[in-house]
Amino acid sequence: MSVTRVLLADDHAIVRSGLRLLLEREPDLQVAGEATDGRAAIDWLTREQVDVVVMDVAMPGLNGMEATGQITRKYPGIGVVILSMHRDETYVLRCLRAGARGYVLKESAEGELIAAIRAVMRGQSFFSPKVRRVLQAEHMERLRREGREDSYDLLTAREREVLQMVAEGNSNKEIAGRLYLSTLTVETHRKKILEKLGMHGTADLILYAVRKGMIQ
Amino acid sequence: MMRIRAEETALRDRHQALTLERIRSGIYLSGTLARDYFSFSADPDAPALLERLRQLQKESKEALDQAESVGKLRGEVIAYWKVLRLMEEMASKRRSASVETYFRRQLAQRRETMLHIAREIDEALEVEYKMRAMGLAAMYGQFFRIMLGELVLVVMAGSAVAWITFKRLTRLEGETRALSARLVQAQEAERRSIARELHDEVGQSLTALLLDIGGTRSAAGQGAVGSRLDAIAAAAERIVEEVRRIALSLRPSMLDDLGLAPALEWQAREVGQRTGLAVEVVAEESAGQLPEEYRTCIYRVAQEALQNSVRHAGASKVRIGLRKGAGTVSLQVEDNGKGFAVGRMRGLGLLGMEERVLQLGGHLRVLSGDRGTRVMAELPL
Repeated sequence: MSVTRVLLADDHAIVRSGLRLLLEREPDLQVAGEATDGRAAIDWLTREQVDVVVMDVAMPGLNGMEATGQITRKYPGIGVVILSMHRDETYVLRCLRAGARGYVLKESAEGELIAAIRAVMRGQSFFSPKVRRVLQAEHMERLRREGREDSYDLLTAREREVLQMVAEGNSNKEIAGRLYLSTLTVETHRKKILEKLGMHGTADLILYAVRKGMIQ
Repeated sequence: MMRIRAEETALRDRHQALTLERIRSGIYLSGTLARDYFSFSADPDAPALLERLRQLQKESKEALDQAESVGKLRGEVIAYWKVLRLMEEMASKRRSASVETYFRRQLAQRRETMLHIAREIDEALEVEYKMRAMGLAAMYGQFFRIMLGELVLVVMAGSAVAWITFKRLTRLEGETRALSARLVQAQEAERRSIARELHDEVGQSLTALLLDIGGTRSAAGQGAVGSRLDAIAAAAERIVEEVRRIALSLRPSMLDDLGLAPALEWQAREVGQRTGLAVEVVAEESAGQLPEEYRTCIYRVAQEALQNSVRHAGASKVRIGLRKGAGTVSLQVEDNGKGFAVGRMRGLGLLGMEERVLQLGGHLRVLSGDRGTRVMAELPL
């Protein structure tokens, strides 16, 4: 059984020790190191390797979102799970854009962090159910308030399928393989979806999928 | 006072001159009457002439009584009238040529003397009058100079007092503004530190507590202790919710963590969820990166304007625009509510908004009418 190595980055010692106890109850998870802020996490990664970083958002010095951006650019193979007090979509979107694929509320860490780490290890996204509910409710409410049509209705069945798969963390090549399409066609679908939804990148698509309840 | 007295004197002098004039004309007339009496009058006319002479005597005596400083004249006048009276007595008997000549001489002589004295007095009075008039003119001049001097002094003193008051007021206003600026800054700093404290310290402690409860929970199994621990965890989660809500209402962490536009967007969503108001935020990407005091100022102004739209305007739509121009950043909050009279209703937190904007050297404009309200703030960068 392969062991997943995890780096914990949080400026609060009591939270780190709580997380360590939580993770070490799982035989396939190993806390490889701890860092007290974003800068320390980046420094640590220059010396050792991990599979997943569990990253607090609010940290002195370099905050979790900045650090996530730097880490995912430098080490595309490392998955980042954000641990946050915030469930507002501005934070979620910023973290997704920085390259994080897991977003767990701190109060739910006990029950959700393990699942989030495993999802990210599989290349999928994970969002605390509370965050998903907030984002979905907000999306519905906004459509109702603004009396706007959901641009989701503009998407073709194939585009919806591609959107779902992109949001679940699949690459263009994986999607092409599963849908028996060429990578170029998938790329075209992806561009079309972004255009129709008025969005800019994968992070936006993932957030949109969460709002639409497409990601469980 | 001086002026009144001087005028009184002048008036008396004029009166004196008039009296003298009356005495003099009386003497002239009496001379003529006397001549008539001796030269032409027949006896039947004599009583009428004499009657007129007596009348004249009476008048000139009254005039003499009224006149001042006429001692010499008085004697002459009395003597003159005595001569006339002698003449009158004699006339009742017979008017002889010799007597006639005598009287003529006597009369003419006395009349001459009297008129001379009267003229002298007249001249003296004239001189005095002129001197008084000159004195009066000098006094007027002096009076005007004094008045002018006093006026200049009063104006100068008044200006000095006004200037000092103005300077004081300006200084006080400056101090008040500086004080309120410090107050606003202190309040903002306090809010931020409390919000952060709640978020970090209280939040993290609760996180650790929840992790701890979780660990104990898995060891406790399915008994009563287990369900008790579930209830405790649920309570702790509710506390986390509450702490998050309070922290955000004090100062949204987005303002410091993510920037102005995300904070405005959060505020828009928050107000939308709470009130059903459709709030649209159109923020230029470049307007995001601003110094802390600008973010705070714009955020608070937008928050206040939004609150006004909710509370007072009865609006259904609000649009928040944020733009960064050449050397300025501008905010515009526009609603479709019922508007208000800008001049009359300065309450509504408008003063607070204005104060914040002025502190950064910007200006705030509020336009309101039937088709809604528009709050515009422009800040120089």
